[in-house]
Amino acid sequence: MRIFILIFFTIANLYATLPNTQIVKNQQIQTLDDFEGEFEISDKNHAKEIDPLYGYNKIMTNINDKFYIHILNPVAKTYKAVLPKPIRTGIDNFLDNLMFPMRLLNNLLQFKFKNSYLETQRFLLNSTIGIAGFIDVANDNFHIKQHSEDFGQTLGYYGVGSGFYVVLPLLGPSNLRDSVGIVADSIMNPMTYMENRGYNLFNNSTEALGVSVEKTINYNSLHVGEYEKLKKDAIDLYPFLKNIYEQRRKKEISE
Amino acid sequence: MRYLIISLFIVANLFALQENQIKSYMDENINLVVNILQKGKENNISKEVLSQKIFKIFDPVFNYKLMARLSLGGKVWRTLTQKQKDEFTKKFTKRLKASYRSKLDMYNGQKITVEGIQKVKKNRIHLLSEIKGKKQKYNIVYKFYKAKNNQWFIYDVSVLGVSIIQTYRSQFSDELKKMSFDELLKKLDKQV
Repeated sequence: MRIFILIFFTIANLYATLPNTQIVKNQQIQTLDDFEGEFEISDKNHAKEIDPLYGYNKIMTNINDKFYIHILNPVAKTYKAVLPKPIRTGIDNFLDNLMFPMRLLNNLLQFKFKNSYLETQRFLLNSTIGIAGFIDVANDNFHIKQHSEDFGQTLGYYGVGSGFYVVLPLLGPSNLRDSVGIVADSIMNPMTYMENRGYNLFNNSTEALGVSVEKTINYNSLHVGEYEKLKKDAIDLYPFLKNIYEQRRKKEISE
Repeated sequence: MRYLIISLFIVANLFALQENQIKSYMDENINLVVNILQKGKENNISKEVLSQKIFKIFDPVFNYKLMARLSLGGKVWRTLTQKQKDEFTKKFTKRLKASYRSKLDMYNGQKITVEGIQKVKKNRIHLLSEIKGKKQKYNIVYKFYKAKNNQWFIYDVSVLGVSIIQTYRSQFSDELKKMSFDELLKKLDKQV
């Protein structure tokens, strides 16, 4: 009896100290075809999307990566060291608040009325109590989160396929549909400059460019190191970023 | 005496996660992890120590071997020798853990909550959880499958809709167009 208990203890202990290997070895991986089906569906989609711009995309991925690591990141770090965080967050909030027309229109186009309402509430609260958008009172005090939608998502909502993969200079991963979306959204965005448009915030395209550079640097100063962290997970950067972009957009459109 | 034996059996069986326990099990353990991270942040504990503690909690429900296999795909897997399979599984697991570990210092007091479970198929359950940041919420889905004896294990995790296995899968298939399997193994080594 005592020996039996002793043996049992040893086994139980082994089980406890080596739970992972032990269980994994014991269990039979039986329903494998089942799993293959689960991932192959997405693989098929992946393979179906031909990559006619592969050569260009690959080069642009590298250029963007180098630009990010060697130019944008050091600039953002210096900027971060100079400006205190509340000011940088304020600038980010302010510029983000100005993107409201784009978010509202795209929410409406997708019949997301509740989110359109919440976005409008956010805009009104932040533009007034939030001092022209510098303070995100809607989120901080009223717990109303942002519901961002862009025109690429709207197109996706209406069943437009993603088209082939395109890596845009500076902007990074995109596809045919979302590139069209970016152009459409920039028309809605008062911070871009377009002649003969009634709602230009700036007098010329140089000013508009200056602000968008500032926006990029400011945004990245609040997210220093995140790209590097993500990049570390890549075995090969090109398929890694491509796949993440595709999966992420699919999810955003389905939401 | 008999009671002792019976209770021992019960203790040993606790490792087998049953369907109706998934939610409470994950809820409890995610809370444990949040506590570990919180204390780690307050006391400046190294990522190595923290990750060791966290892996100890979650290792029993992760099926790393299956994850390795899925990330490579059955077609490739079947062509491998046992030695290659073992080596790949080992390196893949190490990589997954290193990737998790490297992100621990991003934890900044966020709340992590279990939002619910979703039975997608009779042998698949998704556990939905959320990291609540200051401005945004981040969804994390733990995907469970039913193994033998009604035990449930995690075979994939998706973050913001991005499946980790799918990401590896597309990379491995891309890499294997350019290099042999043994070269890929070496590459896995280099980067961890």
